[in-house]
Amino acid sequence: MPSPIRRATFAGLAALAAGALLLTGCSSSAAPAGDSQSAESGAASGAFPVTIHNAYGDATIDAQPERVAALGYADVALASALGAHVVAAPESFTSVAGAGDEKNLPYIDPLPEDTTWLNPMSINVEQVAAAKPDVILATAGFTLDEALYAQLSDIAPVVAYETALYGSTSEESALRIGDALGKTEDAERLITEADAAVAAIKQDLPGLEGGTFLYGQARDGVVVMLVDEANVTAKFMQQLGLVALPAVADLGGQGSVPGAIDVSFEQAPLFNDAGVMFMTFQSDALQEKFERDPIVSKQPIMSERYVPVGLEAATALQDPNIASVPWLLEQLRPGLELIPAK
Amino acid sequence: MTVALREARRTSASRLLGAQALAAIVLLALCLASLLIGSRTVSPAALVEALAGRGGDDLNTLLWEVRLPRTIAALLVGAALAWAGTLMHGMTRNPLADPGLLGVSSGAAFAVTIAMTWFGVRSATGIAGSAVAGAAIVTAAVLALGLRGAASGTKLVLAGVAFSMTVSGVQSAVTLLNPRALDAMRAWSAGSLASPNTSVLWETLPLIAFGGILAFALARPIDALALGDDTARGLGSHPFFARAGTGVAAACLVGAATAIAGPIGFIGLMVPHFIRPFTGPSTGRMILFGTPVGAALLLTADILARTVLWPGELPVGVIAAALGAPVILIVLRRRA
Repeated sequence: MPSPIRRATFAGLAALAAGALLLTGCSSSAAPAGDSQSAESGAASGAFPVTIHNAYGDATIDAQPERVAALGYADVALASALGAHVVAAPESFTSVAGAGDEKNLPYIDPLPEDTTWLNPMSINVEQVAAAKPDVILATAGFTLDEALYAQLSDIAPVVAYETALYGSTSEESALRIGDALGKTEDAERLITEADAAVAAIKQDLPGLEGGTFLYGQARDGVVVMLVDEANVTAKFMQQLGLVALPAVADLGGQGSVPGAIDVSFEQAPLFNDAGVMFMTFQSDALQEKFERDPIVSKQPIMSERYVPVGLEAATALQDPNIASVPWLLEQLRPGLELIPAK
Repeated sequence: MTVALREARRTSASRLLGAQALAAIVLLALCLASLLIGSRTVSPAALVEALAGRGGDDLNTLLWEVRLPRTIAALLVGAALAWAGTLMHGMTRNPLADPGLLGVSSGAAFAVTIAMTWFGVRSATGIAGSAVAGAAIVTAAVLALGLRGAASGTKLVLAGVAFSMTVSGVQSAVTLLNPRALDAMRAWSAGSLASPNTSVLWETLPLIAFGGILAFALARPIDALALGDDTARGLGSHPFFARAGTGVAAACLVGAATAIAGPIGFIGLMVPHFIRPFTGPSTGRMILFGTPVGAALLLTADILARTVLWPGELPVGVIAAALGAPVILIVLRRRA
């Protein structure tokens, strides 16, 4: 039971700490960005301390982080691509779902042996603490909330999303992590590389510009079609020049996720006009159910331009990060090649 | 007095006959609607064309490979759940004795999940068998717990609730230990009639028929039980066999229904309450009249499930629960 005096001291300390935070926050924004950077070696391009404005509060990183914990897939992909030392990372969805043993994502260089693997579906704070990170990246932490943010902030400064989950473009997220790790220039380079990869595939495959796509997750009797740019997957497809097949996109109705339309298997004849139909599944049983459905299985597109997407590519597409783009395009390429040129 | 009684029985019989006829007409109309209504609407003219063999491939597939099996599945599952609910109701004299509430359906679904993930069961026989086994285990356990000593309704429902909790606890443990089970579980957690597995449908047909015959055979012994075990014995029925028989019939019916559609609650709960005003407390009449009512109820729920979220669909279990939950509240209110 805290005595009134102890409570007062505690409050005083907290006020002091808050004041200190405020001060460092001010100084970072006031400091000229170029000065400290020029003194550093070429790799580090950021200026520390850096203050990151998160949806749940501000976090200040005092010096260039040396031990990085990543909670989201985009976080670990970018941290790794920027050459940071990752000490904790979310295990792949393949591993979470029990479909395979590989914990690392296919588009990330192998992480060190002693990496702490986190379950992204439910972050174990003690595990994060034990990895002793000096920064925690959670711009794509999909289980992050205010309470978890507060707990994590006691371990190390947290870099979360600025407004909402998936509320920023992948470029913004990349720059955000670049700033936090003091590698803004490297982040910009990654963006340029991703843009180049997109430009290259668009040049290789002229069918992409103005072509139509369907991208859905088949569940029991219903396909959740991602059609609107409110959905980042649909937005990614749009960046390739593709548009969601109007026959499906214009059906309207409620979707299970933002930017999606739930479509009954009965409507499968509408799918035939799509340039390509990518489909993901929560399980093999549901894939079998979709492919064996009496109506779906009889549609010409199923033998011509239907492409099942693997678990990791589907996860990457859920929040396509800059570092994953070249790999993702490689994965989608066989499907994209099917799109007839206009 | 005897005249008055006979008179009363005759009026109730004619009332039942009228209700029976009405139920049959409604059911026929629903079957027709079930063929025509869905994410895609089929016009009656197109149905006639298809019946005349001029339908075209697409229409034929939709009608005969999707809507027809789905309609048959709804009829079978609805009737099976109504029988199981009426039997459990009659035997326990408890208005809340529903295969869903007592955990029998979830036990059956859980058994299927285990069979699929751990033993790689894929065949229709395997699915039906594991569903019945799961239903049987839960039914036996709930009956054993709930009927030990003085048979009390409260005890039975508590035993059922406890069992549902245990099943869901074990279920979470299994999904945590084996994430692969999570996927299978997801498909088996909400009852759905969208694209039912037709081979499972055929495999479970004998089970449902057996359960139905047993249900009719048990009607008298169950009514005798209501007078107390001693009187029932005096009337020549064996209380133990009546209870055990109810357990067997319920396990077969709920197991078969779950194998076809996954766990669907509340149908078995609603039907007895709907039909009692027409049938009176006679179990035999309730089972007879409960057949078209249960089938019609689930078919209605499924038609709603196909249309409320157009162009998508909802699992029928969700609609059944949405229709059934208010019924529990009304039952509780009436009893209070």
